[in-house]
Amino acid sequence: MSKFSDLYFWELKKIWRRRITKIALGVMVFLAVLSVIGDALFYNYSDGDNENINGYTQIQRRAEASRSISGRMIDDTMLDDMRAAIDTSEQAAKQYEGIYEYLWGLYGDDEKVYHSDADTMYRTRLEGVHRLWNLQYLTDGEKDYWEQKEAEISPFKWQYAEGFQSILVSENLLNILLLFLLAICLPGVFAEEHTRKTDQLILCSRFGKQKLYGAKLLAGVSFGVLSAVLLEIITCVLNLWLYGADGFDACMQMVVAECSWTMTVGQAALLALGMALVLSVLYSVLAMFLVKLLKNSIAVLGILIGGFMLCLFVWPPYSMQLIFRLYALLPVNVLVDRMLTNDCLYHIPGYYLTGWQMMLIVYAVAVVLMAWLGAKLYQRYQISGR
Amino acid sequence: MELKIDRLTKQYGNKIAVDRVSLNLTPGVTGLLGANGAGKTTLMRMLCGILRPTGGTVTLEGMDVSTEEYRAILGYLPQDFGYYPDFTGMDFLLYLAALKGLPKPQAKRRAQELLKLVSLEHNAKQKIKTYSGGMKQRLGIAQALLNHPKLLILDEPTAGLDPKERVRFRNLIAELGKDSIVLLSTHIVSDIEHIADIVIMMKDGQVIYNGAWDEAHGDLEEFYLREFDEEGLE
Repeated sequence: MSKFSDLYFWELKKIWRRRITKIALGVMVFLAVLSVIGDALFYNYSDGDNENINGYTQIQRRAEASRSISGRMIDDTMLDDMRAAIDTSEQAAKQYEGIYEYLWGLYGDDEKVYHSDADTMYRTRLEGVHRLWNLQYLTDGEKDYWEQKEAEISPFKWQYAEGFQSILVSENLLNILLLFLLAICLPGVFAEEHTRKTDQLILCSRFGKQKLYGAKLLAGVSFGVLSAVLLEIITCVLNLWLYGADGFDACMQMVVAECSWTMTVGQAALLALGMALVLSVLYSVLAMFLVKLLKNSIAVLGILIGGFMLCLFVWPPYSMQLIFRLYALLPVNVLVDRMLTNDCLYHIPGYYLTGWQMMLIVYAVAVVLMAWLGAKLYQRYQISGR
Repeated sequence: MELKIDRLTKQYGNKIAVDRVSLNLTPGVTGLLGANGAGKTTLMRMLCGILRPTGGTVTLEGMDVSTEEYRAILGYLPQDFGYYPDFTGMDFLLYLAALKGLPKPQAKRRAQELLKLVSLEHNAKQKIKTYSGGMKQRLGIAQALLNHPKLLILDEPTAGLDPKERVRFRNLIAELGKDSIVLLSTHIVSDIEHIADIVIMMKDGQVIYNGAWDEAHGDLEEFYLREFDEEGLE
């Protein structure tokens, strides 16, 4: 085992020593930071008194106003208070800005928002949920599953949870940054040995055929996971610092009205963080497997990034149920907004699995399969034709 | 100790690169001569287990070429020796020592010893990309010796070395041949003449001469040029 750990640390060192690794990681960290604090740094707002305030102050004022009503049940009393505040002054209405925007998302009409009562609000939300289920061609079994979840949801509280909401949104960008980073840095783990012709020395050495493959794979995966952890820590710390750590227990329906998940916003943020770690393993193994197959790191970069971009703009019709369900398992669909509104389930006798649960199983199988096939390709490789 | 090569063949499509070569190599220096494309490098790669033969077997003391035990006592210097430009000479040797299974303290000691042997001890901490061609070649020789190989395969080891270094390495190879099987491929006939106990000549994938070379056979270089006259004139 000590021999394996020696090789593992050498391979990690080799990844880190490449200039492209440092440059790519630096760029990704910069983009991750910018994506969170960009609004606070570069935007200016004008409030009702024509006072110009910077983005950071605006975020803090909005948080302060929202916190004053945080924790209240959304019922007729609250909606009456909202109307009264709107009628009183712009300043008084500020604390209801969040709930007003939420209602506007449901009705899409200022008049309806203003005259809304709690019953209409919950009914309108539920109609939207049912519309989405029909749009997605859910089976009766799937509808029953979500109905049970829905029964646990309403009525719900208004809670300020901007920090965790922002973490959820940041996961979209992190997913893309992570793919770019690993597609740039990891193919070199195997490709470098061919381009530098060190493969001849490696493959005829004692541990060059079996142990080294494992060490390279583990080093690549470690780099992927560590990069994901670094990006996660940066975005989480910045988001919670900027928006506050309130609202871990806020219900998901405050973030996405049509969502039928019974998770809290905080739990969903933790799930998204966990999924990013899972994706980092998947992307790492995929990048290294493809380079074993294609022997060309540029081709791997093109396939991974091109494939991701293509999937980003393609959304098969819900009516093609099997194709849609398979498509929904692609890593591009871990993007939070897609994951939260996809109610399609995967039926395993006796159980229904949600999209992210099925993704975990499929990704685990894919990682094991690619690692195994990669080992076969690695061991079969021969030096010829130079 | 004996390296048994039995009807070893490598075929690429219609072209036979190595044609049913059978040899028994014992400790000592065996020189491998042949024009470009004669099949020397292909044969050596198969002996190192990095190229799978179309047919035939290679065994050393009963160990098949594909086993870890075989690779554990093998040292190889390829013709086009690859390296990591951002590694220092010392790092490069330590990395390959890890691949060859040397324990860390022993690896460091051995790397220092070999860097001294190839006169690179003062350049050990320099990046390889700053080395001259000769220095890289010397580093290549050093890596091949890391694990005290019982079977040492050297594909043009003296290429790129200046005449003084060449003579020094020729002597070093002769010394190594006392305990190990050394297979040395080169175009420099005088190197073979000086140190090889056995000479093997290859042409079109086949062995055309295999045996000791003494004065009774005449001049090796003349024989070599006669056999490979077309290539020799190039």
